[in-house]
Amino acid sequence: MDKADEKAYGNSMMGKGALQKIVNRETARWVEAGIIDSAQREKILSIYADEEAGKKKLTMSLPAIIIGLAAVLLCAGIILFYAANWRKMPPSIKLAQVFLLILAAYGGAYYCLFLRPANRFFLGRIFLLVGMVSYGAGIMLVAQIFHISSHPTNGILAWALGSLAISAVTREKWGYYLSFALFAVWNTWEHSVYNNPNYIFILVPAVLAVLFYREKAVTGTALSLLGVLYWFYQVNVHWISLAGYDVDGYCGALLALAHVPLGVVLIMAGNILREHPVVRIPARMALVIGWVFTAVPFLFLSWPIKFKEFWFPFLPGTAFHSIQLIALILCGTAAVAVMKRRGHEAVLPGASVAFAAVMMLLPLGNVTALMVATHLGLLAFTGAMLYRAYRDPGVFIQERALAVIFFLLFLAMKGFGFFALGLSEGRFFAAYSLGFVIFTVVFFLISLTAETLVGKNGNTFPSGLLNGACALAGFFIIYALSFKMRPQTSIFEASTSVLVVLFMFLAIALGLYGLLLKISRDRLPVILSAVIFFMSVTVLLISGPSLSWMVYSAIFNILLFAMTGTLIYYSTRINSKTLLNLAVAGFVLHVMTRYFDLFWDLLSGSLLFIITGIVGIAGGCLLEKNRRKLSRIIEEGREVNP
Amino acid sequence: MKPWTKTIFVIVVILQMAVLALMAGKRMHLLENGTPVTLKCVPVDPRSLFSGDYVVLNYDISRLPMKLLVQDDAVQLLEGRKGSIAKNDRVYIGLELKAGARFWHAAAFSKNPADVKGKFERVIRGTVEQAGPNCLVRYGIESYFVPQFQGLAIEKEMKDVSVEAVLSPDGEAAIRKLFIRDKEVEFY
Repeated sequence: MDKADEKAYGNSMMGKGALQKIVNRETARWVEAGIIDSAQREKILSIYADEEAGKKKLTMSLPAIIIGLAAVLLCAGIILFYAANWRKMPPSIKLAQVFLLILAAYGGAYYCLFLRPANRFFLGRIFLLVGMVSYGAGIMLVAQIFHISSHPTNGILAWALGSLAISAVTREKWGYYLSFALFAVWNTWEHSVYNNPNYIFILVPAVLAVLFYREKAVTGTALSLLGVLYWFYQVNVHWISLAGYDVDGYCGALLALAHVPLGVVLIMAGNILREHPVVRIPARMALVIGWVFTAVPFLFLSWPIKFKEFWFPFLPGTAFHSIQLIALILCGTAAVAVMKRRGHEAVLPGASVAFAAVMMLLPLGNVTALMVATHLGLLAFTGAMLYRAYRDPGVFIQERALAVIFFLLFLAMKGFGFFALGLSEGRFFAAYSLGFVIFTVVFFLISLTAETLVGKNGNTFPSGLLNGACALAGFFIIYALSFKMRPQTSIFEASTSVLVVLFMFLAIALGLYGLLLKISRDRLPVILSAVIFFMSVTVLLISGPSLSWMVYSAIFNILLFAMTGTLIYYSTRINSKTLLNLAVAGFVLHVMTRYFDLFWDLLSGSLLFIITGIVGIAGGCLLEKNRRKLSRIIEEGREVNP
Repeated sequence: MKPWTKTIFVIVVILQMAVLALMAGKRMHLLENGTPVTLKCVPVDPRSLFSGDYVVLNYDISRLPMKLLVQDDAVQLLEGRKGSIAKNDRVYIGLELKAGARFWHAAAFSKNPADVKGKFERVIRGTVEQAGPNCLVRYGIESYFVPQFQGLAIEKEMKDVSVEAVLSPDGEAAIRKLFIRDKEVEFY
């Protein structure tokens, strides 16, 4: 029984004493019934007796509690006394007392830890911590007595080093935590106030990681990992600030790419150490952070960013980030080799490192190259993550969650991005919005492809969530398009990069359709999505200033009806009441919007509401009747085909 | 526990005490033996995270106009720009006392101590906090700790505040006395 189970058991059922009584009574009955013999009963009872004995060993004695409370009272009294009289004391007396306090605390710790460790070890640890805190307070008090204010971080550093040293000697875990916190304050203060990149801070998490590991402190090792990552960002931010406004964009791009190989190194560490008894939590954290890092370029670089220069590495001011990227690519390559040698899945990590290397060599200052490379990478990464996460039933649960999160995140991010770009460039609103519809269809096809490939091995796949998200995204963007819009410009007047990316997506969609029609057993969703896809592409290609907004409105309203109809039909095919309800809600939203659009200006306010009420009641009843009918069909379908 | 642990423990405690003793001893030595200067200042009142209330002292010499910067042409040529003073640079300020005046004022400053040492009677060392036409310089004597909750009250009284600081031979400064309207203020 591990700690979590033990806690849950204790909370939910009964204490161990009560359990022991039950076991005692029940085993006696089992012996009587001839289920077990007396020897077996004794063995069973001995297990619970051992646990009770262990529990008793941990129980703190009453004298210890009294001593602890007395110590608290004593401390409170001393603090109050000093608060009242401190100012009246001359500096020499103040100093003497500071020294005395530190000596007393450490003296107590020495006595309890080294001379009477058997029964005063706990008290010794308390004395030790009091000593560390007194030392820090001493530094602050000396600064106060003599009005010292130059470079106050030095005081924090001296405190942190002192605490670390005494903790290392006595192997005091809580002292490590104290010194870690102090080093963190020192580092943040140095960096934020004195612009000090503080390269040597890396030594703190490195040394403390070893010390925490020695004490089997899981939280401490996890903190050390976060400390290293914090340092990574601190140094990079410092070098970006040094680069200046002209080149900080290039440095930022190189830093975004550097996340990929760094992420692979973390994935390697996470894979190797994820079952390690001490570092399993930081290892799992490393695994999750590693995968998030590999997705960073898609989040930050897959946008039409205009750079002045074509090639980024080794531009003036980017030397640090260029060298860092190359070094990390080499480390990432080594990490892939290690994973491969140890039998871990290394295809996607390897491809990710290769992607970073290729990106470094590409002329990313060319918007077309940047957009094509990042979008190809994004689609491949999303599909591959889904496939590898659900192919193997034994895969790490967090990796599965990440695969789904990335899918949803990219979909939402691109949805907002396309929509915002469309709004900012109103004459291309239809083009950008339809571009997102095409993006959504491609994502849907990726999900279907991954599902089909994974399903061949009999594994489950979260198709409902992913396909539902695509349907929802598609619905809302077409809904946004169904309103009156200003005259639109033809897509062929858009920039080259937009056209190239658009046709790349069309080609990918056609390729995936071809593949899915060949390998998928259920072709219906493929065909239904193709209807929406080809309608969107057609509108996109014919859109232009010659078309009235009414034509767009008519087309998108038809498309919206086609979409909700398709979803309602498909929900009955896959027996999904959730999808049915969502599709019906979408249908109602659409009808209501159009109704108000049409009649708002035609009818007076009161008449509009009266007629709306009557139509709404009649329409709602009719709709609800049909929805229930479809729900019943779905439920019956589930019963027949569970 | 290893046999040498007790010894190392004692050594670490002695080192911690030594750090405190060094901090206090160095400052006591400076207060005893330093060269005094009286500086005009203007206080404000924030609160220290660790040390209770204190008043922050800004001095007349906290803002140094760049025209006071001593730099020969060769240095400027080597460093590629005029007035190459940057944040966190250590600077040395030559102080002058005008005839009949009570407060010392900045006469010249430089990154190179040799530019001001020997040429001025008093030299104070500072660190540039903000570079610009008027460099903001900190001397490590900007905090004066006062009894808790009295910082604001004292500030209201401080229409005419000055400080007697002491300087070490290499320009390090420490506050010896605080004056309000030329009267020394003691808080205990």
